[in-house]
Amino acid sequence: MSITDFHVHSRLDPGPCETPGEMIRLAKKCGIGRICLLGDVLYFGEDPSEEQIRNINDQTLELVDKWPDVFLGFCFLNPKLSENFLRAEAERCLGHQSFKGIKLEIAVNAADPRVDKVMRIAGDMDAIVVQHSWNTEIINNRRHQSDPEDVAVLARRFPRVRIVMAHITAASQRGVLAIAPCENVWTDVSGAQPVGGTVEYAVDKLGSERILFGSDAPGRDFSAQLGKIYGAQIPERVKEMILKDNAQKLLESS
Amino acid sequence: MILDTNVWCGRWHSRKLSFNTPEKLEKHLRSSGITRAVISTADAVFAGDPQPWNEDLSRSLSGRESFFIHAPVINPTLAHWDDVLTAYAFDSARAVRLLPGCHGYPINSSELLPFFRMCSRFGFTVLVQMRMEDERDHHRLVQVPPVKAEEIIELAGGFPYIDFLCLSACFSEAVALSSGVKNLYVDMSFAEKMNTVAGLIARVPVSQVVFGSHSPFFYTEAALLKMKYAEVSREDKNLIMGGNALRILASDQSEF
Repeated sequence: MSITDFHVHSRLDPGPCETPGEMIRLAKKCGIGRICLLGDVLYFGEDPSEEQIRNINDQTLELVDKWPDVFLGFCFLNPKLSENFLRAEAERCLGHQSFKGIKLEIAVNAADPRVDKVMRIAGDMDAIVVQHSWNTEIINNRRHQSDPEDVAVLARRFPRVRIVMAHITAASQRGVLAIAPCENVWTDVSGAQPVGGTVEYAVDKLGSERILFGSDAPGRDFSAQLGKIYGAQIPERVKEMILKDNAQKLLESS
Repeated sequence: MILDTNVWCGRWHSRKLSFNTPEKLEKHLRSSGITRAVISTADAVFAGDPQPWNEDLSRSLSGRESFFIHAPVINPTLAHWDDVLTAYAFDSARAVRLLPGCHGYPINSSELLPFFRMCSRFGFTVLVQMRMEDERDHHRLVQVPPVKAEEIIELAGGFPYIDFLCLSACFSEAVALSSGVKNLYVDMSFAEKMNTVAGLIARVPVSQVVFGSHSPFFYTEAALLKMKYAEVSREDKNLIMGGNALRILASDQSEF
């Protein structure tokens, strides 16, 4: 079984190293065989329209059709749009056998009540929700960005929906503790610099089953992001779980 | 040989550092395949005067000189920098580390010219720490701006006989720094994009890129894997992993 990367974005206007073919080549070189494709979520800014959302998801649909053995799709949604649109778009994407869930970025904070309608749709369709998070202490845009504490609020409101909180390295130990009590929250190690110590702390507090490998490519380098796992002072078996088994288990349950 | 140009020991105010003593760090780096490392103490970064912390590190490096190269942290705005620099020159130090962001001075300030003249006279390599952490990870009370690449470029142009090694530059800074200024070098610890190393040496001369991990702030393995999977020739890999740093840091290469 190869490594699953739970956090990769496609590009609507890719640079030379960012084309899907090139990303697959570089990923495979590092042992990554399965890639969760979350869409080019910031291409149109933080608050994309219905047409822009469809545009982003059209590309993901095209790519999972073209590379079904590698890509798994996630449907990008903006919770500020109407429930009718959100449900129709989720049905359009999640009707495809290679789609596994919904991606939420920075249109609104995760604790915003407007996210509820997306969570109801996710619950109805048994979809995993990947929620962007960061440490907003410095970036100071909590109206749009979500702290781990906000993800925990959302998780408590919808305890039956499986949430993957992205970018645990960005909020580090504080983020780990915020989501620790929420059994329906997994986290990925994608993005940010390969700051030491976070993975060990996450394994200690969350256990070894709720942590997923993610890179945030093409904004990041597969190899450097893998260094967070291979360089962590954790048992080899736990590394295997983070790189492979945990994602497999979560995706199979969707 | 892998020469890591960017490692630290000591404590940091906002996160726990693993391997934070020379003993633990040497064991860890050696087990990762690193053969020599340039070390400074993080305790000196926010100290009123770095020198007591440099002295502590010097003492704790005793017996580890075959592995670590001590780069003492110098604040050239303090009154006694010339005494400190002279003492390190007599102690056969090869490099000093500056933190203009944390110590609050523009590196191209005319007031620092005597300092750099003395560095040039003693043959020191000057390590310039661009940043300690991603700016988004700072504590809200400790927001330190990165060093401006254009200030270093201007300074380096005026001191062609000093090798300036800029540590922890992000990708675009690394490209700006090492394009066209032959005595400016960069490590690749912070630089990251798809296929990082190949992308970097497509834009800057390979002779100006060196290996650095920023351990233990970062996982050492991240820098090592960037190199392992780098789509560059074996010759270029060897230069980055050690050859280039050896050229600018070693007074006597046989000891490596």
